[in-house]
Amino acid sequence: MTEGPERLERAAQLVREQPPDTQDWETTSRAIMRSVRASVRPGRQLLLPLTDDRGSATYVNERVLRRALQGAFSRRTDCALSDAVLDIDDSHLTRVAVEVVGRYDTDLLRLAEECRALVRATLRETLGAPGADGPDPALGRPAVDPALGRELEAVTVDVEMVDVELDDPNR
Amino acid sequence: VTSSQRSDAALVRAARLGDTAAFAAIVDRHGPSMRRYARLILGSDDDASDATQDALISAWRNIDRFRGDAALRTWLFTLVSRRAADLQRRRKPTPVEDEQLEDRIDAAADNALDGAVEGALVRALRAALGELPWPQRATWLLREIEGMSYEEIGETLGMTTGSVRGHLYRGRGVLAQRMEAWR
Repeated sequence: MTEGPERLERAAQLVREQPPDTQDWETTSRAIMRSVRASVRPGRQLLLPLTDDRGSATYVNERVLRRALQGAFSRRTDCALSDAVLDIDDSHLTRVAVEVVGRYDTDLLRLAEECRALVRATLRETLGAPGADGPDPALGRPAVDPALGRELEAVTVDVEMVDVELDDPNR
Repeated sequence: VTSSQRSDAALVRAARLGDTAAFAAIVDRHGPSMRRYARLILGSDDDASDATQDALISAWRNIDRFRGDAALRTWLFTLVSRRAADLQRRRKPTPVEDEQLEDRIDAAADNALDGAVEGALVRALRAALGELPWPQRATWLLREIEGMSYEEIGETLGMTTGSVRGHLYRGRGVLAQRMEAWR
């Protein structure tokens, strides 16, 4: 037996070099992403202290907040969000615990403080609490109950640096 | 930085937090080789697409459980291997779709004569693979086509590296014998 191993290697090489069927793959890829987008993961609700005179309630799913936090951290080059755990007590947000991967050459204590500030800013921005200048009805932003601002300020924000990477962890 | 330029670790972190664009980049980076593996181990384009699709949807639903102890690629191949094994158990054997594969080989060949010979060689390999027991076929494909280490193959298929070596040795021997007989 002399030619068998050579033929086997040649056949394996041909399979490895086979050009991907891109058109067919696009069809499969689209079907996968349709299912992914349709399979919404369950999430808990956060009750915002926003009511009208009929007592209507406003809820935000925790997915919205986690996605907003991911987006906010993705714009940095010195850290990335690895996980965000929300403690919700009777539909009220009480704690946000973020796990962060930092870049190797970064001052981690300073970075942790910046991360905490970024989480607070994202909470305010996403949940619509008034910023330093207050609400702006001219922009169509409703004047929110000051209770929301107070509630967000009371949220504990814990930051854990879970890893460091040599380069930008968002890349 | 576009999603396609980001590392696997960065894409997983983003996907875990609900970023579907990051998950789409994972799908396009690893999906084609997952489907190639499924196609070669199952011998059917349709089954391969089903197994790949099921595996990647399962990856999305369970991405919280992936903590990065293994490489993302190894984890994804574990998922597609399980789906392929399930399909193999549930479905009747289907004829190998040689013509489709041969067409692609022909397109890649330098000239028509070489393409015909090479297409026939690949058909012979697929036929020989179809005769191998599942663990030998899986270990050979992961090693020789996907380029995995013995440790990665062991993780993917849930076997020790000693078993991987054993299956691979026997698989290579049988395949070489079959290819020797090919004319």
